[in-house]
Amino acid sequence: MAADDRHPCPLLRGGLSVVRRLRAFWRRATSALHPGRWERELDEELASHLEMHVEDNIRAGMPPEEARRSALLKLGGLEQAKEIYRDRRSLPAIDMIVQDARFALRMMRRSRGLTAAALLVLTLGIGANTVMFTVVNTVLLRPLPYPDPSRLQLVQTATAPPDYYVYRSRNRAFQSFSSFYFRSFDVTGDGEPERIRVLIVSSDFLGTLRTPPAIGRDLQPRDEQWGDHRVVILTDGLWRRRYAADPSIVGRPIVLGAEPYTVVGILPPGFSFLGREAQALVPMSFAPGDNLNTHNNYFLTMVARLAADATPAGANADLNRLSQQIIAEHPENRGTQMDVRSLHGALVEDVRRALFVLFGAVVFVLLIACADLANLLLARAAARRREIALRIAIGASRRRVFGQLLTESVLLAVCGSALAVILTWLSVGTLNSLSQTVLPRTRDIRIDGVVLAYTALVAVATGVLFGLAPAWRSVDIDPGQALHEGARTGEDPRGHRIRSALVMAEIAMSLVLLIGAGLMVKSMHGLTRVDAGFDPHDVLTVQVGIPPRKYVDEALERRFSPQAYVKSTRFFTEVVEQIRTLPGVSAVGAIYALPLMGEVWGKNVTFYDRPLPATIRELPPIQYRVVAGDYFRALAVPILKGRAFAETDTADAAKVAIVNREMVRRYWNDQDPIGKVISVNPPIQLVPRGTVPPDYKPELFTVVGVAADVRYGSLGTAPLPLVYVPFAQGSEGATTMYLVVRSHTDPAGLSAAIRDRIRQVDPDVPASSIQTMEDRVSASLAQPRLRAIVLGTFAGLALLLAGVGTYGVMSYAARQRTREIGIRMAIGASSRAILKLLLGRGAVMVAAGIGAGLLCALALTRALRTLLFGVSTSDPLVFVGVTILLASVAMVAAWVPARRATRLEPVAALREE
Amino acid sequence: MDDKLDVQQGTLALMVLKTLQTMGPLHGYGIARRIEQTSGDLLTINYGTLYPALLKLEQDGYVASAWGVSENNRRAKFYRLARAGRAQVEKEARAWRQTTAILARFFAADSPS
Repeated sequence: MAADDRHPCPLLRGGLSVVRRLRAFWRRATSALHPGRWERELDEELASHLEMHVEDNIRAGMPPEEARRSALLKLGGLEQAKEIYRDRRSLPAIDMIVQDARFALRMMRRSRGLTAAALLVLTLGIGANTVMFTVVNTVLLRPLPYPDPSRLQLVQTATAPPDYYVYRSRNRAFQSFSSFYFRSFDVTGDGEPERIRVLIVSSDFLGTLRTPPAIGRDLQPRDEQWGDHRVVILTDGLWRRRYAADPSIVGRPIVLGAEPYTVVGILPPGFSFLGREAQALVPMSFAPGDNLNTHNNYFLTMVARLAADATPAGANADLNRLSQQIIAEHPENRGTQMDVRSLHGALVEDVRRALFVLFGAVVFVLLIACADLANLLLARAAARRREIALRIAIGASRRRVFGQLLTESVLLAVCGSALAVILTWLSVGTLNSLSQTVLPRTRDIRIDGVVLAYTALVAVATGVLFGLAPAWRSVDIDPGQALHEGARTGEDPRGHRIRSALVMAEIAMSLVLLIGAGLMVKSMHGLTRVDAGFDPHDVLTVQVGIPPRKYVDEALERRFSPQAYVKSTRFFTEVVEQIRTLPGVSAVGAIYALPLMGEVWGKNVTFYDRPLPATIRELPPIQYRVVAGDYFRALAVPILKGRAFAETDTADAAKVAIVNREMVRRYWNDQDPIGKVISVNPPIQLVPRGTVPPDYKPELFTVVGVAADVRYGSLGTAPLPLVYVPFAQGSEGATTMYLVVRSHTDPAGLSAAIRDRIRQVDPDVPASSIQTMEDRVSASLAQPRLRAIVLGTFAGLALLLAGVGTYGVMSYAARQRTREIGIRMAIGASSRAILKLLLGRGAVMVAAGIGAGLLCALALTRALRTLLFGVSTSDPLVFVGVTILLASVAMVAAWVPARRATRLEPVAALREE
Repeated sequence: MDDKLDVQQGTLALMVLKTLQTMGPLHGYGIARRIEQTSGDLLTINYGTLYPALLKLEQDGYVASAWGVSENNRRAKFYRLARAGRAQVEKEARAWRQTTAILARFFAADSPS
């Protein structure tokens, strides 16, 4: 363990413990923060040491001067001692960084304009990155808010309740297997009637999520028994809003769907499931003989927790095995391929691709910003050549100067990133308010440690990235030469090559972004021009739901008697009548589920104009809607053949149906279907014995009209075959309908009057979800619209940065060649020739950038395929249009400085030093 | 006088610790004088190198420092042995005695008869 002057005593023998080493390191690191204090203390200590020594010497008899000299000699070089001490006191590395940072701050203050411009670019570039990362972090990276969430699987295959019970009891791969579905209920009493969304769940639902109620008790298996099922668990939000967070509500009943439900628990705050804002949990239970609890009603989704040793693939296989068992035991069951996937994956898969694309775009923007900044610093580096040459000439190591220059750019980036974090923090509020149908988990978006760490990383990487080339170029000089010749004149071919290469890269990247944005915009435009099959203008929609207990005769319903729905038919007929008489209303109708809400109701249709299939499974599933009033006229859906429903189509009259064009195309080969007979419930021959009463007979419907195709799924999906049936004749207990009100005055102004009329018919039935049809259409486009806007913004930003970059490089090149231009002009070259000379290089640069960009775009836009509607990923219109746009912008950016250069006086140009 | 040995930095720290153990808290100048005294003036130490050594001992936690007033009313920085330093002195003393004992055998075999 030898030592030298530079490293006093590695210490004694035996080395230091780790703790001791760490503590020493810590002391050294923190001392860098207040070097001044330490310097002062050392000075004081050495001064007092000298004094004492001098005194001793004098006392020993030396003359004062001799005393002082001897003392100093003994101390062995004051400055040297101080130097060794300094090195020991702190970490030289940190000292260096602190010193560099101080110097960098001084330089930044000196060139304020440059610093401001750089900070602006950095804030926008890093800020966009941080915002995107915050979103990606919350939606894709952060695990769901349940304990051990990776074990939760979602079984999305719609399942019938008896099948669910089989899966639950006989599965081997899950430790917990629960099911759920959503329904809307009206809460009355204790205030204004309110329609809330309710999660109807099996008793082990909360157990599967491992999220027990905060107050009260969880559901228990006995709650699934019909009769014991009228219990409810409220969410924290509903409890606070409607019941003023009163803890005594637990144990008391509330009125839900016109029935009393006892509150047994309150969920912890912040509980959410699938982002669908359910307000209460109610146990799943079916009355004996309830039609819903049969093998041919599939509406349950399941969420389950894997057993400790199970895998998703194994779970999938296990459920499929059970599915086969069920088919073997109940042949009328369709039996389906079970689709098991992780809960998180199911929640985000819709948006995962879009988020990746947007994240990639924002990284591109940052890279373009870095290229711009690198060019900026390169230009400034040329101006600082003398300063740096001087520093190297008097002995500064190149490495140190390089490090110091790099510190400048990293410091710029760090400052920019601090501003970027502030920018992100301001935008979190806006992000939180985005609807969860557009983007899941928006409520949870916030800045956390991961985001900050990412921003810090990006800041340092950005600083290094754009600072590397300029710093390298700066120290790569011959100081003698640089000091001699003064400022650079004439061309700098290598420098120009680097700068041109950077601008080429910028142009290529912005081209890719612009093309991507162009494709999204074209796709969006295509969606808005889709013929949805109806006219959404001047139409108001209102959701109305009636409690089944009051309006449906359950005993009759179990016997499949159409008389069960007399009261509900009367209700809706009366409501439609009431609203029709309102001033300004030109037509009013109602339908089970509006267009663009999804293909939510399907029936297996039997055609009686052809031989019956052999099994129930061969009956084709066709979309089914019940309508009331003047639906087709209210929504302006053209009737292509035959007639619409009339008031004469009552429960006792002949059963009629209207089919859509797609159904005629697919099942009648475009022949005239008027007069043909169908049924929406299977014929008795195909129904397994024992599941229906012996007097069961499916209603036969005669087709009386053909309606134009309406997009019930979404604007982007083609219409499916569909059959309409009047509410009076085929409602099958549908108790929620959407009123469609067309008005030639402002339809939104009618909402108060409509609410009033509904209340007159039944004061306990609230009107909810009042929206114009136009708004609904617009909302269905929210996701593609948001994507197009965000990508368009990024592309616009990229275009701006690339334009600025092009301008900067051309301007600098023109300035470099001022002398040459002066000479040319002096010997007679015309302005136009000079312009062509300068622009020539610029045009080559732009063309090369565009060429590279086109190649990249052709490859990269393939990633957008699933996000586009009606647009190919190599759409020539977009490619050509964007190329022209970018080329024009770039050429204008190149032209302005070139033009300015030609305006110079030759004499002034020649004199330019 | 010219036979004075240059002290190795490695042992300087041990001498400082031992001095503090014997003398109690002392300022830097005092430690330097005392070391020279103890060695019977056979050692030359560069007083300047003492201070970095003291700093290292302080950073490693073997000594602690505090400003105080010296014998002749001067403000000076005093150093005292910390608990870890006390333990270290004992350990080193033991090791040193062992080493010298072993080496003594070798040199004893060498002594002129």
